Parts: sequence; C-alpha cells; structure tokens
Amino acid sequence: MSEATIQPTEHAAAPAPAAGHGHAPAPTGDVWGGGVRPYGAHSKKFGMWLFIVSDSITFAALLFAYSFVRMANLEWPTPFHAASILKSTTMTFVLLSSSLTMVLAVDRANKKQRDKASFWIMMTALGGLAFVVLHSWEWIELIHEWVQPAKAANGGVLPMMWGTFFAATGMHMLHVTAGVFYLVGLALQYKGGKFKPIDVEVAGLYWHFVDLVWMFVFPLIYLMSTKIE
Amino acid sequence: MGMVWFVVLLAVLAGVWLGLIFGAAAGWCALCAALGRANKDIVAFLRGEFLNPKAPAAHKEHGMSENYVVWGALLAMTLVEVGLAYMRLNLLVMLVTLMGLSLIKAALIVGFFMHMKFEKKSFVLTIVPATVITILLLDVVFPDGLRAYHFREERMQDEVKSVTEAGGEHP
Amino acid sequence: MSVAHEVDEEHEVHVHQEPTQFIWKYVFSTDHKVIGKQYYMLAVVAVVIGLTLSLMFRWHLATYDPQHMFLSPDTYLQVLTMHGTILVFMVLTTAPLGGFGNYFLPIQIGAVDMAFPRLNMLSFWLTLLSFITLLAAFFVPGGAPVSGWTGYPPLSAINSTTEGMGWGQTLWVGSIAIFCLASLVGAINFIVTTLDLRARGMTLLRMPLPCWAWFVTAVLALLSFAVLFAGGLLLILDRHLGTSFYIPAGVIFGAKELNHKGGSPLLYQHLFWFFGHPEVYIAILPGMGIVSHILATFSRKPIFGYKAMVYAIIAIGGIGFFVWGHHMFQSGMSPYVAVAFSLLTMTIGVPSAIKTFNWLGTLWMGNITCNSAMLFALGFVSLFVSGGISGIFLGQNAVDIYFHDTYFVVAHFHLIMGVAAMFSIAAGTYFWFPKMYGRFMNESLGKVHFWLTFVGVYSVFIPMHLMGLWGHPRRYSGMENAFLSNPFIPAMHNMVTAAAFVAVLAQLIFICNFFYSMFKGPVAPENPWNCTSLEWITTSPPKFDNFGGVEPVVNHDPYEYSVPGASKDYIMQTDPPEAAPAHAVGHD
Repeated sequence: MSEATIQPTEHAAAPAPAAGHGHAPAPTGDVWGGGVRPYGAHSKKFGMWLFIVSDSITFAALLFAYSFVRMANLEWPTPFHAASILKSTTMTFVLLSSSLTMVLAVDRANKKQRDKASFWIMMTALGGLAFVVLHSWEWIELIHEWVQPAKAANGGVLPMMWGTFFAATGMHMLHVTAGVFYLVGLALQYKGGKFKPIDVEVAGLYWHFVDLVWMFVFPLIYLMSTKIE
Repeated sequence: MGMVWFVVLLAVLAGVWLGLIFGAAAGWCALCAALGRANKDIVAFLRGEFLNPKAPAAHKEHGMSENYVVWGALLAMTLVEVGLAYMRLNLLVMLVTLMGLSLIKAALIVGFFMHMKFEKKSFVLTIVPATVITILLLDVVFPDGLRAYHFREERMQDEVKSVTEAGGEHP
Repeated sequence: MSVAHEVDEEHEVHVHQEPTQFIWKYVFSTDHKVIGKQYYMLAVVAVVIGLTLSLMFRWHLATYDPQHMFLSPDTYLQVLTMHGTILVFMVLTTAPLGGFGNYFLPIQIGAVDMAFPRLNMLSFWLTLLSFITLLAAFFVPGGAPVSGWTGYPPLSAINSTTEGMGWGQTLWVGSIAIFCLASLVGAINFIVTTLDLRARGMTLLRMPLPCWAWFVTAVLALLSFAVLFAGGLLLILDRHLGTSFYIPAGVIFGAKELNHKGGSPLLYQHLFWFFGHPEVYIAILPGMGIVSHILATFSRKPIFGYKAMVYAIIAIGGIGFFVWGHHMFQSGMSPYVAVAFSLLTMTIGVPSAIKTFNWLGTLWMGNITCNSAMLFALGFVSLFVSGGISGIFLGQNAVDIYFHDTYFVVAHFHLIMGVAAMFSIAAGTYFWFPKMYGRFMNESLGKVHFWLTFVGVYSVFIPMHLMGLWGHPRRYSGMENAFLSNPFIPAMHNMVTAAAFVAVLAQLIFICNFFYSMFKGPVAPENPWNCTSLEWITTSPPKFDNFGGVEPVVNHDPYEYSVPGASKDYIMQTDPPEAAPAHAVGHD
C-alpha cells in the first residue's frame, strides 16, 4: 500500500467491498461480528472505564485494609472535631460542584463550543485545586495537633488510625493532584484547537471517578470517627 | 452420621459465602434498577440477548437539568451524612446508613455524571458486575479481622485477670 | 439503522507512517510487533539471570558443608528471592502475554495495531524500568531482599531486620509497584484491542484460542494487579513512614520489642494472594492458548470442543479469583473461610480437566507431526497434568497442613506454573519464529533442546516431591539438623542439582539456536505450517501495518483442518465461505 493511512470513515462507517482474502461481506447487523466497536463507544472511553475499574479496586483494597485493622483493634480513636468536619464537608461540596462543572464542560464540548468547554474545564481544575489546598491545610493542622505528639510518644511509630487516614486520603489527593494537571493541560490545548470532544469526556470520566472515591473515603474515614463532645 | 453433617456444614458454608457475594451483587443491580432501566437490561441478558441485542440502544436525549437535580441530591445526601455523624448512633447502624447513602451517591455519579445510564446495556454489563464482584470478594478479609479482635480481647482480659489476681489496680 | 451509522466519525484507526530512523523504528517504537519483540528480549535476559541464580543455590545445596558454604545463609535467601521474583514477574508474566500477546493478538484478530500504541510503548518501558529497579536491589548496601518472592511481613515490613531488608526490599516493592502500573496499562490495551478492533467477520467465537487466553489474562491482570498495588503501597508506608498495617504488637527483634501495634500480617497475605493466585493464571493461561493452537495445527484436526475450551478458559480465570485463600491455610486464617476456599479450589480442577481432555481429544487419531513446537506443546500437556495432580493434594486444607512450605509445594508450582509456562514459551517460539523473523529455527537442535529440558525438569522436580513428602522444608539454606538423618536427602540434592544443570544448560542450545537462526536460518514462506489463523496470510515477517493495506475479512472458524470435501486439508479463516462444503464444518 503506497499510502500508510487507512481513512477512519472507510473502516468504520462505510464497509468497503472486501479486498484480497475473502470476498463475501461479513455478517452485518451483528455488533459483535467484528469490524465495528461493539459498545458503540469510543475506544478511549472504554479504556478509561477499564482504568477506573482497576483503580476503584485499588481504592477498595485500601478501604478494606482500613476496615480490617479498625475491626481488629479494640480501641479506635475518633479524633475529628467540628473544625475538621467543617473543612472536609466543604471539600466534599467543592469536589461535587467541580463534578458539575465538568459535566458542563463535556456538554459544551459536545456542542462544539471550544471556548466555553475550555472555561468549564478550567473551573473544574480550580475546584480540584481548592480541594488540594483545603486538604493540605487540614493535613498540616492534623500533623501538628495529633501526629507529631503521638509519634514522639511512640518512638516514631504512627498510631494505626493515622496510618489509615494518611494512606487513604493521600492516595486520593494524589489522584486529585494528577487530575488538576491533566485538566489544566487539556483545557489549554483544547482551547488551542487540539483534541476532540471525546477527550474532554474521557477526562470527565476520570474526574467523576475521583469524586466518586471521595464519596466513600469521606464517610468511612471522617464521619465514622467524629469527636462528639 | 457425623460425616453427613460435616458435608452439610461444608455445603452450607460455601453456600452462605457465595450467597453473600452474589446477594450483594444482586442488591447492587436492584439499586441500579431503581435508578434506571437496568431491570429491563437484566431481563434481556437472561433471555440471551446480550450478545445479539435486538435493537441498538437509542441514545435518549437528556438535558442538563437532570444533572443539576443530581448535583442537588448529592449535596443534600452529604449533609444528611454529616448530620448522622453527630447523632450518637450505634456504630454498626451508622456504618450501614452511611454506606447505603454512599452507594446511592455513587450510583448517581456513575449513572448520570459518568453517563453510564445512557450507555449500551452490554457496556454496563461489561464494566459493572466485574468491578462489584471483585470488590465484594475482598469481604473475605473480615472474618480474619474479627478473629484478631477476639484474640486481642481475650488477651486483654487475661492481662486484666492476672493484674487483679496479683492485687494490682485495674489498668 | 445500520450498525455502521452508530459509530460516529471520531472513531478512527490511526496508522502512523512507518518511522525510518533506527531509534524510532526499533527502540521507542509504537509498533506492536517491535514492542512484542522487546518484551520477549527482556524475558530472555531475565530468564538467563533467573536461571543462573537458581544454579547458584542448587550448587550451594548440593555441596552443602557447614564449614565451607558456597553461599552464606543471607546470600542464599537473597538469591532465592530474586530468582523467584525475576522469573514470576519478568519472565512468566512478560513473555507469554507481553511478548507473544503483543505481537500476535492484533494480527490474529486482523487489526493494524493495538488500540493505544503509545500506551503500549509506555507499558513496555515501565516494565523495563521495573526490571532495572529490581536488579538494582543487588547493588545497594545490604544487597537484595531475603523475604522470598511473596515478601511476607513482618520481615519485609521492618526496614532494619537483616541484610537486604533495607534499600533492597524497598527497591523490590517499588519495582513491583511499577510493574503493577505497566500491567494495568497493558491489560487495558489488550482488552480494548480484543473487543474493539476485530476484523470484519471475526466474531468472538471465531477468535483463535490464544486470543481468548490473552483476553482473559488481561482481564485477570486488570482486576488483580490493582490489589497488589494497594498492598505494596501499605508495605512501603510500613517500612518508611512508621505505620503498622502489617506489624502486630509484640514483635521482638534484636532483643527489643517494637513499638508497632495493631496491624496483622494476614492482611498482607490476603492482599498479596488476591493478586498472587490470579497471577498464576496470568502465567499459565496464555500458555494454554498457545498450546491449543499448536496441537490443533500439528494434529491437522479441529481443536476438540472449541467452545468448551473457551468456556474453560473463562471459568479458570473466573474461579481463579475465588481461591486465593488456599495459599494461606497455614497462616492462621479463619478455618471456616479455609473450608470454602478448599472447596472452590477443587472446582478449578473441572475446567482444567476439560482442557486436558480436549487436548487429548484433539490429538486422538490426528495426523501428528512431531516437530520442536509440537514436542514442547506435548511437554506442556504432560507437565500441566503432573503439576495439576499435586495441586489436588495441596488444595485440601487438611493435607496442606503437612505439605505447606515443603519441597512438595516447590515442585508443584514449578511444574505447573514455572516449567509448563516455559514450555509454552518455547513451543510458541519454535512455532512463531518463522513469522517473527522470516526464518526457521534449527529442528535438530530444537529436538535436542526439548529432550534435555523435558528429562531435566522431571529429574529435578519428581525427586523434590519426594523430599517434600519426607518433610524437607523450602527456603532453608542449611540442613545440619534432623533432615540429614535421612540418608537419601543429600543424594537427592546432588541428583536434583545435576539435573538442574542439565536442564538449564540445555537452554543455551535454545538461545544459540535462536540468535543463529535469526540471521542464518532457512528462509520461511508465508504459511510454513499450513495453519489457518490470520497471522499466516501475511508476509514473514509482517509488514509495518500487518496486512499490507488489505483489510482481512474472516469467513471461517479458527481450526478448520481436514474438513471433508474441502480442496486442501486446511481452510484459512479468510478463505471464501465456499471453501468449506456447508454440511461438513465439523465443530459448531
């Protein structure tokens, strides 16, 4: 073949008459019969869903580990006082709202409004950034208030409860941070005419997933350990 | 006779364990059904229409307004959760309630924000059951967590006993 | 509404220009064929290192003398750990899946490349990074870790226990974490490719069995490596940030009780084996697929029970997730759970037996050609049966209590997971070498290689079963204890070591044959084995876009050999439908 590019439409939309080996048309109408994507979904979207499947299992394993050690221990501190809960609730609202802006971004992208889509992606990234900032503030306070004294009293060993807290929220924060970079990069390039609506949708899937994980981390880690005066 | 009981016990244990896993999976499906058309999808799957869907899934038109409602519901449920956290409930009751609410929130996010409700049923059936079953399988760690708890409880009681017997103070 | 209309215009198949510069063509290539070869070469390097390590500790055991030890006990454990880790992760996981899978999955389903070529490249380079990180553990202060390929805590969770448990262990965990990411990326690519990029007419039940095996393997990798990643993360936290996920109270080390409390090593074992058992199938399932393909080709018969084979692959993969607890019968796991795990483990025997009998059914009355590829495929069946039978013993928790951590276990998993998978790699190599390099490997050397390896591995592992039955524990560097009172033990060690040397040195024949044939072997035609699947319709080696711009259309099931009434004894999958008389297609 002189030209090394197969036109996409030729492959997917208009099955060309079979050339070379075999000349009977393949069975049509059967989405599993090959030659079409069986889910009618873009491969990138399918790939991102598979990543989400795997990553949600990683988070599940972390939360199961937390539940395991909490179950196995006779005493479990419940140290989150009202200020902490207020902060984390705000973080939850910020994250949920950033999900809504992401939905708006996908909607605008599908309507081929590049500037508006880019704006809403930026808003989403801003929400993510606010989450990271609030969470870091929270971390620093908790480290000063609880962790350093406990470690000093314990010969450098972190009490179990704090281990689980930092493992689960740290992993989540890593995902949020990565997501912020992802979104900012996408927004800038999307505005410049690069990428397609499907790329925004895929980024949206990732962002909603990060939100989804927090919907389990927040009640299990924070709300199950509130300090009731 | 003892052998018979042993076999019965084994069967019951395996049954309970598998029942737990698949029961929970069924619960999840029921939840999805309450939220969308999953019920029809399952029926279609049972009829064997999974590999050869009769009609291509029509992309239902849906506006943005749905998403605002979902967002509001998510915020409201979060507030309910925070309120619950201060209600001095029994730990188990609270765990079940919080997880129940979280599952509903998750279903809303997956269904609407992540668009799963509007995907082809074959796509949903590819992604969701595998994830749910794999995650639920991890439940098997909990019997060991409980055992560790009971061992530690016994050991602590032994320690308390030995201290009391030696005439010491209750720690 | 036709299906084609549903696919919107953005679904495109990117076929990049073939790069011309060396570095983009052979090093940072996104071509699945180059990446497949890169994976294969990585596995070759890893297998040389891993087998050399095994010879080191076999020599140590054969020449054991408390006064003049070949390896110190610490070094022995380091060598043992690295042998296991390198072979399990860098050979058994990379060669059959990353190597052959990358090369042949797209071609066999009629695709131009993988779904995400750049992610594919990322996956390989992450694997290489992981391999280098693992090897670096040899060279840091303290050397490689000593905790075995399973890395059980508390030993692995405390970073100052003994030689190698400092940076060596940390690098080990880091390497495994990177490997998890690489596998995740690879698995996504395999699944999407298999479902989305099949050529027209290539229905799921027309895929050759290796494709099914790679697909199911990728699903296993997707779902299981995630859990190992979480487990490894917590292990790193325990080692470096003072948490106690895996360290219970009362661990006494160096006459000092540690401050850690609250954790449980059982948690690690659950997380590890949740991955670890599917990993066994990740290693062996591609082998099953490859061997099925080869057996059908060289028996000139349709594979016996194609659908049953597919369902058995799926069943093995599925049930494989429900049985990880059988690695933990002796760990203090809840005995009720153990009973359930034991029962489920037994059920794995059913699909395994389906596969075995179907292989035999395929061979039955076949027109068998015993070339090197076929010999290794037959060897695989033999080893799979031998190793599988001891699995029936070990799967029962009452029996496992006696066999746990003895040489019996070592012999069992080496036969079924290690050597059987190696045999499938060798079989695949002899079979696909003409396609990959356009030349044949030397048949005579191949047969010598087979017989030396086959006799060699059985002579290594049959005695090890016996030693295990006598109670010889695994992972012991020295035996100046009661075990020496059995006069057969040292003799057995000598014999096993001699056989191990034979079996390992036989691989040198293979490697020489491989590299010699790459340049000097006789030139191979398009379809030297008269095989039916799609890789054989293209040139040897295939062009950059696999089919030279032709879009293959599939009209036939994958194993139509000796169809009555057909003009030749095989019908290519792409032959026109008339090639087979309508009433004569055998196995549907």
